[in-house]
Amino acid sequence: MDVAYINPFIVATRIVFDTMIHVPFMLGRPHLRERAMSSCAITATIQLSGPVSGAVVLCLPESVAMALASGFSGTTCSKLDADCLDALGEMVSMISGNAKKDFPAGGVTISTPKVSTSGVIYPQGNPVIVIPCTTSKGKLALEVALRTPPPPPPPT
Amino acid sequence: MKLLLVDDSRTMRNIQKNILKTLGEVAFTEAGDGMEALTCIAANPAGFDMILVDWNMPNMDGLTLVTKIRQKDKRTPLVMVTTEAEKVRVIEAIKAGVNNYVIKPFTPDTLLEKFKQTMDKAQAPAAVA
Repeated sequence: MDVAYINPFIVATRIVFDTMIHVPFMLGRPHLRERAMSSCAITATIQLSGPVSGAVVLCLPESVAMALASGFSGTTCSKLDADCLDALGEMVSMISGNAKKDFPAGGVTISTPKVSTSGVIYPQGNPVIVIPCTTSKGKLALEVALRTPPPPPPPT
Repeated sequence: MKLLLVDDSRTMRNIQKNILKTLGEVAFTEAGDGMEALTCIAANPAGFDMILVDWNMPNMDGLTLVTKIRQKDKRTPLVMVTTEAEKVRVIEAIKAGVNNYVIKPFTPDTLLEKFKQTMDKAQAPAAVA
């Protein structure tokens, strides 16, 4: 997994949290996820295709999701309704748009982020890196499962 | 002042409204995509003082909307407010006819500054050749 495609998401998350929610966050130690399914309450998934493919997922406990959505929208989100999910979707759109500009190669297509309450199942065989983040609103994680194609074989 | 906000996210339209209403008396019209925006424009023959347009929207995206507006109207100031942060996209939008470009995320000061810049330019008398 190419770290040059992971760091832009970390930087972009930091920028969006700083600018729109005024929530600085601290990164924890990244580790590999064993299970292929993410079990957190709210997932916001960004799909990538092209020179790099896979998914980057923002994983949020419900209380953190509502606190971030409240901070982002400037209103109180007390339940996971359409407004709360809309705020989370816009927040993650900003993260993906800002990350994309720092990718090392062009031609990467990013899907419209999908916010879900039913979890994410990653493709088998792809390592999933979990990057824990701590904010004043609570803990969350960035999960990254990206695959870059192997380099072409040397000419014979 | 009459403003048209075009963004598929209601949250984003509310954020923009909360910032721009600090400018004084502003009448906002909202649209969730390019098609809705064209309907709003057709329903307001007196026009808008400015239109803020998101890029990525369902049904009709912001770039298509800008192109369609500019086919008939060269004067109304158009500001693209978008997550599309790559230079190539900014150039594409300017070629299509936007007057200014705001990258999300933005601070209230950034949005207000770009708004004022755009208004000032639009209201300045045209230079005599």
